[in-house]
Amino acid sequence: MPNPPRLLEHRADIEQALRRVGELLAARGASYAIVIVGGAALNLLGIVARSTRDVDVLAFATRSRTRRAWRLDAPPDPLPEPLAAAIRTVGRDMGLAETWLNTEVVTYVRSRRGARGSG
Amino acid sequence: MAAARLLDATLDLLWRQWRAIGGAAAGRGAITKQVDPEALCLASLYLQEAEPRLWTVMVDWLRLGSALLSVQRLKNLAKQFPPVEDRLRALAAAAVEEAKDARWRSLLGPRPARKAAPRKPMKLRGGGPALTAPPALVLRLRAAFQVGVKADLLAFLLGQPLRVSVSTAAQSLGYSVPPVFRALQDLVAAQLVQSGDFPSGAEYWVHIERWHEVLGGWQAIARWGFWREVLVYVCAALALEQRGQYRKGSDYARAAALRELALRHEGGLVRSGLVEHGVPRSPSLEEWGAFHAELARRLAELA
Repeated sequence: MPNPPRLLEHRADIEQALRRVGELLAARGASYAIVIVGGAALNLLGIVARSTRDVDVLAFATRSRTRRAWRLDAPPDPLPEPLAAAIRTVGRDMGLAETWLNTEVVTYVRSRRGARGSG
Repeated sequence: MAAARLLDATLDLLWRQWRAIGGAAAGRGAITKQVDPEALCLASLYLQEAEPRLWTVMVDWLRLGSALLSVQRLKNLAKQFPPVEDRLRALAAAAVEEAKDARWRSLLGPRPARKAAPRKPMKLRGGGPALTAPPALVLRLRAAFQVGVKADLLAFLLGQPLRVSVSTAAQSLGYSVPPVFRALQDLVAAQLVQSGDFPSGAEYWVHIERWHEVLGGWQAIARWGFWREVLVYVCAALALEQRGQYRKGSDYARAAALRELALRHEGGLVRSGLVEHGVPRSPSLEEWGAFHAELARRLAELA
């Protein structure tokens, strides 16, 4: 019976997981800039210090041509395969949930916006 | 460091294999298990950059032994090794030119082959294939029954201590399942191979004692070496270590790449006996260094 997935315990834990994803992507010649929100983001900013189940990705960021600004887009669904594979690998290595980095928050935001629009 | 040890152990293994089948390789020691001649050629081609003398020994052996190699199998197995197409074309050119073996023309392709390294005027250094040496059993059976899947299957089954399934035979020989299945049916019909249905499916074996007299006693029959599996993995691991992107990566990314590669080859490595229970799952580069160092030690032992 496999162990249940563990939580991301603290800031260093979250940083290590994200760094590892970046390293795996770099090894494949890929990179993605992501915008995260929620508990993980607050941990990284040092605003809170508590464990969190996952890292919520709200958007993908791409630099403008002049490289002075960032353009934000909704994350692709499904996530690009190199990124999805890196998330799985790091999740396995660190004992995290398979979808420890996910875009569920986007669905939540959309449903809230829809509810507000219809209300 | 571990990669260097793995390379040294692999080169030593290749020398031992060439010696075992009659190659004029200097030094001592030959392997005791059956050689897979196409895997040996492809690994020698890939590693000739690290050890250029492999080319000389291979071409020398080819002058008398080219007819005992399967050109089709070379083509098929080449896809499993790191890229060696140009070198394979050069080898084919040497076979056509020096052994006058027209079968190899199909490997030359439309592009002209890289010119073979300049060599002294041909003087036979090796005595050609050592057909009755136990590790050369597959070559001996090809000489007797012609180059093809049936001779290879017989050598493989003679080298097995247990019954095997069609898929195991196909995987180890690097053929696809349908031709292996058809060949096994023919061999069973000819009563050269036995078969039976077991809960795990159909399995095949030979009455090895009946072959002792034909082949010259039990000592004439070497165990199957599973060298294809071993050499494909080792060459892929050495190729990975050379790749710029890999070398620039973090320790974690390198360990993950080594693990991904090893997991793809795990079945073959276990079949070969090189690893017992499977490859490590660790993302630690140190652990992978230790794994490859252990692999190098076992290669020397297996040989």
